Amino acid sequence: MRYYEPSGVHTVLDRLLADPSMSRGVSHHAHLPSRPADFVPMPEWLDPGLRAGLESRGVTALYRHQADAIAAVRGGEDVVVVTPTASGKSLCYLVPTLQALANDPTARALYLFPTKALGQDQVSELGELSRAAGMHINASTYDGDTPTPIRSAIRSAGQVVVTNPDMLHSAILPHHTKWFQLFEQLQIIVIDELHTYRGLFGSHVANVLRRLLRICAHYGSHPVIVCCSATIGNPGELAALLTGREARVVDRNGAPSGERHILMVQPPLLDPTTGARGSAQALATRWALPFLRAGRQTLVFGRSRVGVELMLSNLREALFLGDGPRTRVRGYRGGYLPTERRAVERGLRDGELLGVVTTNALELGVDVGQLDVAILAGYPGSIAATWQQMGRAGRRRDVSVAVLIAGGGPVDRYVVEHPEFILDSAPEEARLDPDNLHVLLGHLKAACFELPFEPGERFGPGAAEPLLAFLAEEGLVHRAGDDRWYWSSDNFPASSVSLRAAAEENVVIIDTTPARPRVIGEIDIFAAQTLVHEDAIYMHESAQFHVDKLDWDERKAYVRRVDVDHYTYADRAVTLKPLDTYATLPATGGDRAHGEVMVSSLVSMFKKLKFGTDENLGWGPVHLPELELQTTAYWLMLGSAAGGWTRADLDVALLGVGRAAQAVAAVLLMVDPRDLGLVSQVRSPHNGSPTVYLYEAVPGGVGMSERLFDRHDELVAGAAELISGCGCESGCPACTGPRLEPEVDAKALALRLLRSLVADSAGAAMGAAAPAAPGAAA
Amino acid sequence: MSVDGARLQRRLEGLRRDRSAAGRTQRAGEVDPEIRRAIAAVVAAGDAHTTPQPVWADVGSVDAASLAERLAAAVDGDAVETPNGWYVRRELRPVYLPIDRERLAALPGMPAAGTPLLCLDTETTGLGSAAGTVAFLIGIGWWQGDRMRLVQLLLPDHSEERALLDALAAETPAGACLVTYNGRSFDWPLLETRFRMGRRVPPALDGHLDLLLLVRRLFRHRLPDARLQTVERHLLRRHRAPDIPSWEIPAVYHSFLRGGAAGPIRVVARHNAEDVVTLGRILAHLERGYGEGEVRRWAPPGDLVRLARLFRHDGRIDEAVACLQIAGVAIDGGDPEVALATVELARLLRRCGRIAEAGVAWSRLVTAPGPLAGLGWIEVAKEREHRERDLAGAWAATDQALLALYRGRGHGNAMQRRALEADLVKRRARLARRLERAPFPAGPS
Repeated sequence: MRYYEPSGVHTVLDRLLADPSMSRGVSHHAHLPSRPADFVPMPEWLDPGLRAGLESRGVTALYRHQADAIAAVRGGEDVVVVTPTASGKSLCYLVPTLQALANDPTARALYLFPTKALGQDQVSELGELSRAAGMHINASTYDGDTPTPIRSAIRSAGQVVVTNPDMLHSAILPHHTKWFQLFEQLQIIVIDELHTYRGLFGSHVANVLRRLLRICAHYGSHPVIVCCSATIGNPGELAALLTGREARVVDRNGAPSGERHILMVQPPLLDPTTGARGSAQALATRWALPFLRAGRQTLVFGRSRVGVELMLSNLREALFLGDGPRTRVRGYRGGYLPTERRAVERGLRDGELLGVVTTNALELGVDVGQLDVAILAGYPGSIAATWQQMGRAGRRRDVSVAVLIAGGGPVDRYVVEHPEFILDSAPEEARLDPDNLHVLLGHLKAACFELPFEPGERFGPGAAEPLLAFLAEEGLVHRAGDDRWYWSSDNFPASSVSLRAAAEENVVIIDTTPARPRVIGEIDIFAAQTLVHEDAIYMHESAQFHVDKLDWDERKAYVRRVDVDHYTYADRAVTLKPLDTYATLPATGGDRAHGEVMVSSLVSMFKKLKFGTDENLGWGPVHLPELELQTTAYWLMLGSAAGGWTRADLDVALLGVGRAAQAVAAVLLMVDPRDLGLVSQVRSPHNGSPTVYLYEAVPGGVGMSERLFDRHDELVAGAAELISGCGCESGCPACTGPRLEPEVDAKALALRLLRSLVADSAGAAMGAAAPAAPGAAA
Repeated sequence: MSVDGARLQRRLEGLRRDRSAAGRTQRAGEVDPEIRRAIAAVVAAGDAHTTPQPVWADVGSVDAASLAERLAAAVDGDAVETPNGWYVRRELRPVYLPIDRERLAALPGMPAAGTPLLCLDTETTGLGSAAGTVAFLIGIGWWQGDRMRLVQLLLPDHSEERALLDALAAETPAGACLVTYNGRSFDWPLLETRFRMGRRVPPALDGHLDLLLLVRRLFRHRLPDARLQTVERHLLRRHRAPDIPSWEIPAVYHSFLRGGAAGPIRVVARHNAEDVVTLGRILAHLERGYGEGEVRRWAPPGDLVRLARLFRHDGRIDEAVACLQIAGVAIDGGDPEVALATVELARLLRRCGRIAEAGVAWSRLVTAPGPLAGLGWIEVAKEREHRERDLAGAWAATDQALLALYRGRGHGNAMQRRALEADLVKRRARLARRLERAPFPAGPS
């Protein structure tokens, strides 16, 4: 049953739903009707030229949220605009910028985008709008690619400077004296894609903004800050954390949207004893193919780079067999070169490309236009990311379809079985900890380098002096006779702080197949340990490469084209050592604690797995150094609850409880499950008790462990609910995790342990047929 | 998420533990023992009376007055108090260094004879001109008659920078032209940054002569590198007494700020004074060796080729031609620079329409050794073919050109040579065709 003639989204969807083999897995089908626009007339005070320019570009009235934001900025208020993808957010800052420049051509604006590509899109949009308005605006991107001769012109004359936090951090702020015209006249700071500034990156950016505002104050300017964000639960709080100032939240979305279908799909349970389910990736390919064959632009999101490559090769193969548009389907992920990525973006925009299989690399506001279909193979890990990815499909007028297919994990199962979690509940909150000591100290150095600290001056959470005194002991700062603190070292502190920890050191992948070896991509060192260890099969654009040599010190992997029937999977062994306990409190059945830990991860072996069947074909050793991560963790030490257990049973139970707790924690804190790591020790060498640790995957942590510590009871109750509510017989990947020994009933053991951990009040509710959603407790 | 004091202290304690556990017993700002020994050696060589002092003492804010006094005592200068703070001024004995400003001004890119010159060199707490790098010693020199006066301004502490910059602004004559070495990309942007940090405007200048750029253009071809001390040794033929390497200078000052000895700063000051005087000496060298036609006869031909380029760049063609003519005199002496001068001369003459003179230069070039003779023969071949209509002579010249290029293989740019050879082969084939068609042996009419 193959259809190659172009047909509408609706036709294809109806056909798919009529096919029982496909529709059986659909656990929920939401139909969102189209929504009309909510217009507000242009404000009276708008510059006539600007108004004419907007009208010539078809903007005769403003959407509700645009009008709200523009009015607030005019009133001198910071704003944070929170509306979905493609709702015309950029006008919320373009109009105030152009208005300010119309009033006073010496005014300046600074735009921050998380990536270079996004910034370049905005410069061209600003250019078009200002030309239409008859204004001559000097707007330029200032990033690593800006040629040196142009840089000084931008410094002295750029009215709108578009850059990214990394550039602000390492090139602009340390050289602020060369930018004095910008800082003296700075009226508007724009922070777009606010929701991306979370976790460790967000913590860094918050400190960069502290430095920025400190320098503005030095030059006597008081810019208004306009933030734009995809839909998240706590935009106001996030903006306040990042900028250190209160912002007005603008969230009355006035943009229209077309009719949308959202489908939640559960892969079939193949075997209730093992809990084995069909693969989300295979199902995603099946859902994508009919749309591609009908000529509908389709994005397929995978959770991992390997997954993306597997789906890409399967899709291409299927299209090839049926003479379909094979070459119009491409891959897109981190690790591809920028030129390749730009080509894919362009191809999507002008319709040249039909399908793209991607990781979350395409979820950001990279301009690829609006597409017909988005298929998510696996829950992306957060509601905001889910909406971002689903939002890639959504034409203003036409019908669009988004399909979320559950992966194997417990969180995925939970989400798909509770569609209200995505459709109705408030999206998660973005977390960051700007006062993470490692981050704070790094930026304090940079701040002191930029301007001396006054006695009693604050930086971030409190007085800077204790920290400066610490830096003085390091011989980095010096307190002069006037009691100010001066940078006093020949180091350049900004260069030792990288905002994106992973970007710091990448492994370059070199293809030695052609006569002249070429670089085909690069990946961060953590991923490199599992993806490009020696003898790994590395997948790139669905081609297979064998890793001949990984030169770890040089950060280079040498690969060669091969054609084999298997792929490789490397597992990491993680060990954990507590360094400092911040707090300990008794809990039911034991004690809970949080503090600083050292996590070491070692990749020591890999498996060869056959394509399609995942049959184990053998294994090999990996010789790579251990990577260390100093971070914060929450842990539970069993006391009375551990009584009466055999060591083997307790081991299984601890791991099962840990896995469930990890999943629930991700839901409770609304973070990506990959941001939390799990270590269980049946007899901890540090405290002697059976212990379960949940650690944060970023150096220094971003405050999640402290919140888990505070919400311990909900966590344990949620874990119990997750396991008891699972349809499997004796534990499965969707509750207690993958089964290691089939004869052991991990589910019963984990539940038995949980019974002695759950607080009394919550314990009574355990085992209820339809337990409360853990998300609802948040 | 506020950081409470007790926990912060506990965590800082943890970081301190890490630091000592990691074996990093040496503090980041502390002077490396090896540097300390090097400095001690320099101090011992120059100032036998300086008593060794511990370079590191503990942190503590000391008042600027006493720092200024200690610094002044160490460098034998005066601590000066101003409403904006303290600085140290040290005036050195003037150096006899006469310069004929008219002759200097005759060189391309030089300031007019009437413009006051201010030689300047800074010693800083780091590299680059970002906001956290401070100039703690500013050395300036200017001419009073035949003597160069030398003044050094020193910073007793970060807090006193305003006073130091005031002093610099006061010492800078109105409308002066700055003379520096790499000052365009380092010293002056750094000082501009320092003025901007205090939200002040840097003093107005009338031009900035960065001798690094000039030295690179004129002399780089015969220097191993373009560092100031290399120029001093190879160009000015002066040898410095043991000196402090520049990369050690920031540590010396940081150590002083933290209570360490002021003595080593004396070494830095001596280094700085030498650098400032060297700026003047480079100007004198330029004026005496290159300032007018007569003295240029003694200059190496390679220098004159580069000087001619500067003149040509300035549109001063006659002077460029004159330089090249002097440089090209000894064409058969085997110096490739001489041959290069002749090539440039011939090209320049042709470009400004002086064809006959160009022809003379080209024909002189054929006697040059090495591949450049090939260029000469090519031009002779063109001349014979097109102007003199001497096809056989042109044929012979192409042969000579190919031979010269063949002899010169392995030298110069191989790609350029191959292109020339390909051209010559074509020219030869064309000449052969024309010779065949010619009714009788073509020769000069």
